[in-house]
Amino acid sequence: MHLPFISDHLPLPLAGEGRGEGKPLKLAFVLFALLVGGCSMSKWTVKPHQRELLADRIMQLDADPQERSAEEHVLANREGAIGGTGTSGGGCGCN
Amino acid sequence: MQLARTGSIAILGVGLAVIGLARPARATNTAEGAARVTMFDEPSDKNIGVRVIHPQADVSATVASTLAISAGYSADVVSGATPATFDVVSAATKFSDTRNLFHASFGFEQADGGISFAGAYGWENDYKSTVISGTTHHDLYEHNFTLALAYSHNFDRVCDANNAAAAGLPLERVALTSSAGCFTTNPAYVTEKLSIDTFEPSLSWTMTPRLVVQGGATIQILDGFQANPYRKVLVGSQNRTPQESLPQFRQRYALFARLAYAFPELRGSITGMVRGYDDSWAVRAITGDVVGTKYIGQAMLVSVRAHYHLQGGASFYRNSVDYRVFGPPGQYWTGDRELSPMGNYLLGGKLSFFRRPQQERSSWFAEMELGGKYEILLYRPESPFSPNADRKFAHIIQAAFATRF
Repeated sequence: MHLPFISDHLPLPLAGEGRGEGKPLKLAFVLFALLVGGCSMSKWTVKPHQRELLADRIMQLDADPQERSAEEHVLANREGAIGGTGTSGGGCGCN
Repeated sequence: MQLARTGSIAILGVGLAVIGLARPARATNTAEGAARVTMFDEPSDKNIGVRVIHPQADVSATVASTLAISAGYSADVVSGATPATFDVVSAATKFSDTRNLFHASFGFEQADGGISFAGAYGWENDYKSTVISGTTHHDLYEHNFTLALAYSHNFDRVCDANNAAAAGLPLERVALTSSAGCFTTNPAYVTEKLSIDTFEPSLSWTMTPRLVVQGGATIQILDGFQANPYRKVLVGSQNRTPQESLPQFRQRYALFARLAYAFPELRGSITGMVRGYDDSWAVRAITGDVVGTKYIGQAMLVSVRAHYHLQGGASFYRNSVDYRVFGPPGQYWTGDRELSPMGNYLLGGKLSFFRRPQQERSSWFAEMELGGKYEILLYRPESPFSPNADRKFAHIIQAAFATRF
């Protein structure tokens, strides 16, 4: 199975490296590189043949509307906040 | 009956729940039938507490690959006693009631989007609710993004005592004592309106073959009678116990982010949600939820869940001692735990078993699922004088069965 990791996108050396001055900047750059690198590696898209994991029920944000409804029913009665239940299980696009 | 507040909040949730149920049946199944029973048991230090039995039954089907239809029924069979802390004068009273809810939806699904509509009608002795909702979603950039919009509107009716003589004098308002005359021509009762509009846009992004993220917002506007008509609040040093008094309007806002991440090496996943919340009554909250799920063998799925919620109180909230000693800060007062500063912790686990026929073509079903769940909800009130402080925790026990064809 193809598992697209992003570990081969390493950050470039930064000014101040070795003196501890560029650590926050370096960390930000690494995070940015990981994010953009991950995206560019997949060219912003995940191909249909790469969606095997995403199609599994355990990867659905709203796999079971009935269960979600029961959970929300309990918590809406015991918490003063609403929202975040999601309006559509996104991501798979398997059809 | 004391259920109205429970019922009203429950119905508030119906809009969002219907939004979720309005989603078409999954394209991978042509039909599904599911039944579930949840028991919510909340013991009390001072009385019998509250127990709610919540059965659900739903069917859904996809016709001609594009038309998705679903229908279902759920109920709340509630019994118990009113919370002790705020019932200083009347003492805790026993109650029982049943809420019924029917819902149905239809939708059209195409390769890169869909639209669906749903309706629900719920009723109990002192509360009636009609909900309509619509959901649309569209896939973008080769199905890597999904933009979804959902809207629902509640036309709710609440039974209340006739307080016409106390118009403009909230301290003179009396609480409802029984639902026996609700929704009749009995002049001692009136029917109040409550409209609820909920709008929820979200954007999902398939970031990698093992990571899906979603961000969104929830906006809800309530206009109408929002108090518990049975609830009395002890205010001032003269032992006056007027009916709970809440503002007519409430605007609620939430921003949320969700994710699902796969661990194929472990045959598992993690899903999570974080939410920030604010509203026009000055209730602010942050909520986090995480679920870890793992396959065990070919026919078993186990998951564990942790949930945390922390909120501040409404601008007009005071605990029972402060209401009595200092009086209310204005024309509004409440004994609602959900408007008080508090925290909730939830921990639990779920076990599901699947049965799939070896020879699918020769079987009358594609999959059967049997599941059980236990969760414990721990309450952390701000003080011993907070609403419902006699109730420290609740057990949530659930059994579910589904057949997919």
